[in-house]
Amino acid sequence: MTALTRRQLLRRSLLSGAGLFVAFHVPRKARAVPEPAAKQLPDPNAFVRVAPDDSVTVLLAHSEMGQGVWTGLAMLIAEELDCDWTKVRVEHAPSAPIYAHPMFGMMATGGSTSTRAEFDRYRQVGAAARDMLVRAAAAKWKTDPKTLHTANGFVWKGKEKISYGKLAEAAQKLPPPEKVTLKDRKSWKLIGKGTRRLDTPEKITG
Amino acid sequence: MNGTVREVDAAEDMPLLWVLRDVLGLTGTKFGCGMAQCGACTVHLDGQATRSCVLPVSAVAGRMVTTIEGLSPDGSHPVQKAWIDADVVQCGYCQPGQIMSAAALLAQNPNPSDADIDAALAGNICRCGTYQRVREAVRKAATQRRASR
Repeated sequence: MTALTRRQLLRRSLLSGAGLFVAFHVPRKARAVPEPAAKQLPDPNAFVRVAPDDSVTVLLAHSEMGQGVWTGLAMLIAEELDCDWTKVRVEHAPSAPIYAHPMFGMMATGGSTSTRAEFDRYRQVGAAARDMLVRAAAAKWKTDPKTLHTANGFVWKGKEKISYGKLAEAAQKLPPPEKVTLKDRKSWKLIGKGTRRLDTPEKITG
Repeated sequence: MNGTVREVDAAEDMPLLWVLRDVLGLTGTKFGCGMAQCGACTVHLDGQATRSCVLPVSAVAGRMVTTIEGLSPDGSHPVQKAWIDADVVQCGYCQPGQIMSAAALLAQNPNPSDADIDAALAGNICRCGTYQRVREAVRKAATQRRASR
């Protein structure tokens, strides 16, 4: 028995005539997943991972086809998370209902909708993750979360600071917040600013 | 092959590109048109930019082949660094071919004019239209390459 090579698989698939075709435009009424209640926030654990080494991995369900969503959508989370932008990485999300396109109701990319559709959700994810990290720091310092602030990947209490990476494990065990307050656009540090693309290194090495 | 001797068991008329991708697993070199019209499959053959999709593997026996994987171990070739600086990449599909053509040009002509750059890269088609930044990056790479010598 020989292993099936990619080329053989392609040939067999083509010959069989069977294939998967996903229609791009889905009628709004025929959503694959029910629309979540408007006030319910997305679970940040599905969209962003803060690792003990301080890296921040954003999971994206949108295809990067050169339009820059793997940078732009990551910026939305990073903006509200107040993390260190140089430590942000991107991975493609697995197939799961939570990653459904908010407008199409299924995992899809197209129609210049990625940023528009995700603009609130991804910022909410960043803000919710930040809230969990702040609460984890407050528990560690035995203080009120309101006395703490965040910047560039750290939670600060006066002049003391703890990195997000050191708080990640404790924060992940906390329940996500029920509501978050998004930044006023005047205080945006990343959104609307030019930045290098996150997908370049993989694409220039083949 | 990228500095090592490789033996492959393949039909002598199999295109080098198929050998690279399907036999050796070097998928950095891309299949675009399969008829030497687009440049996505560009590799170096004895230092010359060559379209691997129409080159029978029997023609490269005993010769030096460099692919995008062999250009640098970590993306640190001056052309790759200039690509990051100029933020050239969009969808990325043609970029390994663009980079291989640019690297071959600079190895032969360290100080290319814009016309030289256009001529050397004319066979590399980019559907995203990154041409302006490609040219900017090649200029940057040429400057940086000269400065480091």
